[in-house]
Amino acid sequence: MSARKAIKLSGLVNAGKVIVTEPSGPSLLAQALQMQPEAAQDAPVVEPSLPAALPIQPSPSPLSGEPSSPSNVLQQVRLDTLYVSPYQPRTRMSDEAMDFLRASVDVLGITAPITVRPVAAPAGAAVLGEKASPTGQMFEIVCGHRRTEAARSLGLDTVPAYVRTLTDEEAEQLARLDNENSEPLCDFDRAKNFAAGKRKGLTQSRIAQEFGCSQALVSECLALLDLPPDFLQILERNPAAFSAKTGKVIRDLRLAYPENTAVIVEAVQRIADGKLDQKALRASVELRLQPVTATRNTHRRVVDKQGKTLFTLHLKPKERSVIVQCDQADADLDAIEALLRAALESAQQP
Amino acid sequence: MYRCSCKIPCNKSTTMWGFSMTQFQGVRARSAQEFSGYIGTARNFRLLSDKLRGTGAAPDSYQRLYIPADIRRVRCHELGIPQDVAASESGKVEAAGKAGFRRPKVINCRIPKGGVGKTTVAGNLAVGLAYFGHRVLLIDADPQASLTNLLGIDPSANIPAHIGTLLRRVALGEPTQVDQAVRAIHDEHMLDIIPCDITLANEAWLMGATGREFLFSRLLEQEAAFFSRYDVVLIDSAPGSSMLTTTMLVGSDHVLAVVTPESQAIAALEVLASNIADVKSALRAVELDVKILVNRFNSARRPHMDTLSFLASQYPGQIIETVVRDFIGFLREVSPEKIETNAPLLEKEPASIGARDIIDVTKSLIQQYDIRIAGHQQILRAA
Repeated sequence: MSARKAIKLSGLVNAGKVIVTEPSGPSLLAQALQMQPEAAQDAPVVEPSLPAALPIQPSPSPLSGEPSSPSNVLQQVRLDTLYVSPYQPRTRMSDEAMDFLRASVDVLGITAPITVRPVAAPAGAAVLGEKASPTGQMFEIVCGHRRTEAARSLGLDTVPAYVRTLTDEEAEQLARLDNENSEPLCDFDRAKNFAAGKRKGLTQSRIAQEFGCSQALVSECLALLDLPPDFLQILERNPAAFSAKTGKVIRDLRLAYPENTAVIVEAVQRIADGKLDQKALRASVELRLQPVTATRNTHRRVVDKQGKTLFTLHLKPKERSVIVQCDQADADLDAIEALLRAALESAQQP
Repeated sequence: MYRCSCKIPCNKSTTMWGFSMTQFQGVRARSAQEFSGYIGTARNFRLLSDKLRGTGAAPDSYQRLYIPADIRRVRCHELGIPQDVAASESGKVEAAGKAGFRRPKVINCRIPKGGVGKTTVAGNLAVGLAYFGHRVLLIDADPQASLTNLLGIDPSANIPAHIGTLLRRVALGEPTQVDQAVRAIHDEHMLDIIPCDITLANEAWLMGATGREFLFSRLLEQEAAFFSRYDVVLIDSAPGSSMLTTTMLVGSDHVLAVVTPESQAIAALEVLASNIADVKSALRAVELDVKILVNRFNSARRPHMDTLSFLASQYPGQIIETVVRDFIGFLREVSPEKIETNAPLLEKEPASIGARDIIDVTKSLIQQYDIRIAGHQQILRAA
């Protein structure tokens, strides 16, 4: 009998889909059944399939953004006390989006407070403000880099922020996850996020679950990071240069033309510069690399000393014809015909 | 013979008039082998089954069907139960020098809420138990007669005696004549039913009967020889609370409360609790065990998961491990026009998902209730 496997209650409990909590007291049913404790036990002892009290299993939530301590103070934070988060995956902010944001901040101010956490001043970290004030508490931005950048470019002094105490892990999680929801990350930045997950030993499906995307996307983005350094350089300079799908095309092309990586790199560079569309990559590379012997109608050129074409010979084997095309502007057709006739008649001599 | 019009591949064929000829005629070799727990080649299973049946092998027995009686014989062979004991129609036992009769396990499908699938579960469970080699007696104790209908019996046709009739005869001290009430579904008493019709609702006479709550228990004792032929008795109770349901409850060993994972069905569990409390406060000697079966579960519905969490928290250890999924096949069990083609899902579509769930529940209950074949304990191999 081959039907799909049955659903078991203990399986659902173990998977965290069914959450068991301690009941506040014995159920009415249990009370009713226990009413006569002294009755004789004639029935055979049955083994219950579940233990008498199921262990409490709190479902592990990936977004454990709740801080370890309940401090969640809203205050105005000076821009020059802010550090950029080392976990920030976004390497470049798109200009148009920044313009919109800047315009909106100009009018409304920062409506959604950013999230920061107090840190000791780390060495070598990028400080947002022009002058770092050595006195006073420094903060690290967890979420809200774009808003802070907009504020800075408008010349504001402070931004509203929730100050939370977060561990490094919590800050990393929040920083990576939060950005998925605002301006969508480009695939290269996403790939960096996913690589962080992979370093922790998570499977692709688990990473996909955490970031709320599909496992196929995770796989594609991670494959971007496996490209040779030439391509990665292009991406480092401009993370939005090309997408993960283009990365797949690059891989296929490298497999097909292993010696011609330089051509592929050049084409990708043209994409990054905006001269070539991503979808045209494959066609462009193949055009360059495939030998031009496609046409059966072979063209033979007769050139003079300077390389200028004098004649083009078209051979059409099917029609058994040879066509002599005179490419010179001032060709004397009668003279050429006489020349050819002479040549052909002399060719009949054995 | 024509293929029946539903698209599920099965061995059933229809006649020109469209009713299925092969319902209640058995299952195919592979299913039979799994049910009987036989480990070996299909050929050896077939040979063993033929040998135990006592008939020679028919020329194209390759494609033939196995009825529950066949499976019982193979099962007993595998469990080491002597064949004459297995086939015997009476369960006589000797206990402390006194001759007595084996008492079957009495399971009552009871929940105060209607429409949760009590009848479906009862019918399918009975078929499942029969195919696992047990002799099962079904009692339809719901005047709506849905179980009767499910097994292809027309309730409006002549039902000479139902459970109410039998209890009345006990109350009046008349000869019970139980055989008059029993209808066979499978051969060799593997699946019998005491059907009913709407006249079961006339229970006014119960009011005046002395010791009315014990009438069913008394019936079981008085007809101990008759009931000893069965391994399990399954009762389908009416949803509401009535004198009849209380009487049937008192005589039962186990209560199977079927619920759907929705809050009204859960609330019905509390009503059941108060039923049981009433019974126990009035009658000291009642021992009942309650297990909860979740039916019509749809894992894609969040409220179902939440309700399941609530149930698992409130009733730890009482919920049956396998959750029966919502499956469209259960709706194909009955048709209003052709009652004779009605049959539980396990008969009609033994390879379906719903059937799979039922089989798992059956196995689970066999273990939990310690349901025995001919009084012999069985150790079920893990699937």
